Amino acid sequence: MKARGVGAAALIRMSAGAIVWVSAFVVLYSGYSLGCQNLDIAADAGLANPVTLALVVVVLVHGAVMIWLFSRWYRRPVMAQPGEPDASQIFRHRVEGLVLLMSSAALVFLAFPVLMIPPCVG
Amino acid sequence: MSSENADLNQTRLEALSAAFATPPGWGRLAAVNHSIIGLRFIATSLVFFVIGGLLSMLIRAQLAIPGNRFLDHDSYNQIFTMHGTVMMFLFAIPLIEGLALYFIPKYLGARDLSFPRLSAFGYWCYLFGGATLLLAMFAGVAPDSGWFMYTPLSSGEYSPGINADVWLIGVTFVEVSAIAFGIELVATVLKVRTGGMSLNRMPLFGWYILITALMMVVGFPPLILGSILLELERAFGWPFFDVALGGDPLLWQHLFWLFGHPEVYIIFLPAAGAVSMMIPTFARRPIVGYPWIVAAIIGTGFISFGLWVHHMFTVGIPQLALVFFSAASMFVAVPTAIQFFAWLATLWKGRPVRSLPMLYLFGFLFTFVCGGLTGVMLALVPFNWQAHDTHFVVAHLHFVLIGGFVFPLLAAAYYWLPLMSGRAPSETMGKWGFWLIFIGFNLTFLHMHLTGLLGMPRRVYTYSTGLGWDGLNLVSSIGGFVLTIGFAMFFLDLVVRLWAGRNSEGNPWQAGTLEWSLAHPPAAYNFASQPEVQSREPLWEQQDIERQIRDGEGYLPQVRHGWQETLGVHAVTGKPDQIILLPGPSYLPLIAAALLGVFFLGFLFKLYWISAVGAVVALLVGLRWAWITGLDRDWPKLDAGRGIELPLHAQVRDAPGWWGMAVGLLVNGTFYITLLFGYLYLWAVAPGWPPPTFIDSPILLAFLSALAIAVSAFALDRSVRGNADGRPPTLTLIVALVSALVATIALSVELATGIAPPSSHAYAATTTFLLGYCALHTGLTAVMSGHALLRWRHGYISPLRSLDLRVIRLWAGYTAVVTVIALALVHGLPKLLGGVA
Repeated sequence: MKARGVGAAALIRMSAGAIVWVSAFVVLYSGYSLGCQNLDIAADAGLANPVTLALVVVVLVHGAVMIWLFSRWYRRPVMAQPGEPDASQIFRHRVEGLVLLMSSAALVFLAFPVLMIPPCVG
Repeated sequence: MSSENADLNQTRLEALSAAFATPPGWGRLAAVNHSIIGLRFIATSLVFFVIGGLLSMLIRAQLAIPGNRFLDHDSYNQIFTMHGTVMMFLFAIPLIEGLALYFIPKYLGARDLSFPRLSAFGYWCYLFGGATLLLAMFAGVAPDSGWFMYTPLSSGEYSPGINADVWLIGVTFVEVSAIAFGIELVATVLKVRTGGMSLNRMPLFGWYILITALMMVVGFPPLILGSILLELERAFGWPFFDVALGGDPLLWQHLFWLFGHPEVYIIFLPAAGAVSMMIPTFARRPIVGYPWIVAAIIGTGFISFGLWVHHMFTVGIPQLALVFFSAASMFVAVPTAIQFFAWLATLWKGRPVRSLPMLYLFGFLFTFVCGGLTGVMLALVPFNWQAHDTHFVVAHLHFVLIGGFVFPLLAAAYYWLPLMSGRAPSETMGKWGFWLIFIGFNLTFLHMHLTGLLGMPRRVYTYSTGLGWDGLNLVSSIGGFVLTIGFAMFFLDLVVRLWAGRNSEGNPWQAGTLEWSLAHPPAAYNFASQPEVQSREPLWEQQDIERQIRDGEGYLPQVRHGWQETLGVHAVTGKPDQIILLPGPSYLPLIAAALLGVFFLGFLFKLYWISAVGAVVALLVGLRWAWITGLDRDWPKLDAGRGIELPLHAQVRDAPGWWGMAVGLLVNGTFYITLLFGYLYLWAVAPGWPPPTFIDSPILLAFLSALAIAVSAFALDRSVRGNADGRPPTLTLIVALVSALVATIALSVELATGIAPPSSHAYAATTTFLLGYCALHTGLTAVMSGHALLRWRHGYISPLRSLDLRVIRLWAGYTAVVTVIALALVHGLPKLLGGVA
């Protein structure tokens, strides 16, 4: 069954930014845990170490996805469902943009600690 | 309307009443109507609220003076554990469920929920689970390890009685109810609305409940998994949390708080939904920033799952992880603040009227903002380390929960009272109640922040004098009793109004949403005909809509064949696309819940054969339940009113049943992912790894299991396609049945011969659990395939009526994926990471 036919894809698209944020959160948390578990990184190694580098890459990849979502949001309005009124499409477009905005801010907020704290301390 | 038309209308309404009626007397046990089930949830949860409140009085009486001997430490442990458990699991969540079950169809212009029998089943599970906990308390064997049941305190070594088992089994039973609610409400909000109600026209309460239900669907499985694992450890010695055998107590904390923190928002969001309905009414204007609020609800729903570790800041987690969770915990204030600003802007731009509910809403705004601010303080790691496990946290959580949940719902109680009962509230008693509650609450909890900052820890049954806590505790206890008098005043007011209150006029607050077009109290069928809505506040903007509903000018005005019908719509556009036939009263939900109770009680008393019997008979009842659902012949499109014809729900692609299975698999998938998290967490973090032995079974057996379940899923897919093309699905269903049986047998052989005893090491326990999960699913795939085969032979499945097959295809596809992943992990990880701990 095509998801678009039942509206599931439209609902997921409205939440796309938040889904990317959750992905970033999970990968950052689990990635750094496994990295510090398996790599011997001294507490005083500072920020120049493989784990921090990997986390920065994770942030950048998710940031790139956010930017792509933003550009798609800006260039192309939502796909209309069969018989959908304009007001409904505008509403979905607005919510999608707002969720993207909020999630992007949350991603930036989450990125700061990566750049400020050595990963395996504590 | 002429007298002839009036007579016809009356006859039509009588037919609707008869179709939606619940049998009297004992027949009420078979009730499935959403209003009845919703009211049962609400009434039962209020009883538990009174019990939880009385327990809190005992706590405050004990702590009023230093060195008090009113309670001993054993009783105190049971009382504070039960207070938290009752308030969180038996009052707050069920009250939300009750209000949503009662109001959502009314807000959405529907006649009932998508699965009325499922919500009835949920109610009985809640009642039986709650009764188990309550009876244990009266028998003196209540849980006593705190409402979060931390291991190892709750493990067999330190809690040898049945106290902890009571919690694990009683709460899991209640959680079945919450899962049923989640599935029910997601499917209902998306599919069971009135015509024209696109997502942008849906009342905000619908959005709040949709996100809450999705959060429950994702939030509760980790706790269910944790409870099952802990019960298996206690009952059979499977050492998931035992450090000496490769387990880790912190795994419990992760599983509990993966549920526990979103739980706070699960409680808050519906209350905020009620606020979002009341404020526009009293501001006399539509809500400001509707899309902003919807985005904020979605944001809260996601971000709230990134906070759970802030309950574990002191357990010894690396700094970077602390800061991740600290950042997320602070950021969640942003979507919450968006909602607050939208409410304030609505009041600012409107023409607010003074009313009793508004008084309680101001109490909410003040109290919850205070609780939110201390929440941001606790999100800061250094402060958290200082305040952790002190009375500061007790004060904070009560400001959040009473401020963010109880105050809004007290406002909502007065707001909705005229609609639910036909009685008008009393301004005088309501105001007295408010001030007693507001003053009593602050007298109890405001300075409790200071008590905590002065170092008083939580969960101590007494304290010495001279520590600076004496006066503060005495004031808190006095405040607690004032608060109780306030709640007593509220309940007294409620009883007096229901008993002898003056009749309310229709729509007394002049609200704009559909529920206020109903009779006060509403009829069992809600709407005499379902309207076509063109705005978010149809009562404000569609002047004639109440008459249209009453006179049958909407959708589905007539009763045919005695059916209970409601409209199904496209999830996004609100365009009508099907007629949903609702099931009538049935004892099956009660019987199924009672059998589940037999299963749980057998476990509690370690009579496992009784559990097995209960489970098997419950499965048979479930199959019977599924058997009598659906149509036994094809129907043409039927007149739905307003000049359109629609198919019945069993004959369309996205019936509520399809959505129900999709959401059910989301529950199941969350459970599975959490299980994988536990498996990998122990492998990566727990001491005592690697285990003495890894899995030792032929890899061919694993290939056979994977291949067989993949064939089963493929055969079910062919069944759906063949059936759609008019070919009998007999052969493909037999292939699906046989191959699922082969997979089950292969997995069972692997379980029986390839893994060390589960009690020997956490590796063996988790591997056994993971493969057992897969075997259970492949076995159920076989049962479902056989069931579908029988239903096809009896005419319940046709090319037009393929819902059964499509639902089972979803299940089988899920089972194939999770089984292949599990087998790859179980056989691949030892080779990949065999020596690594």
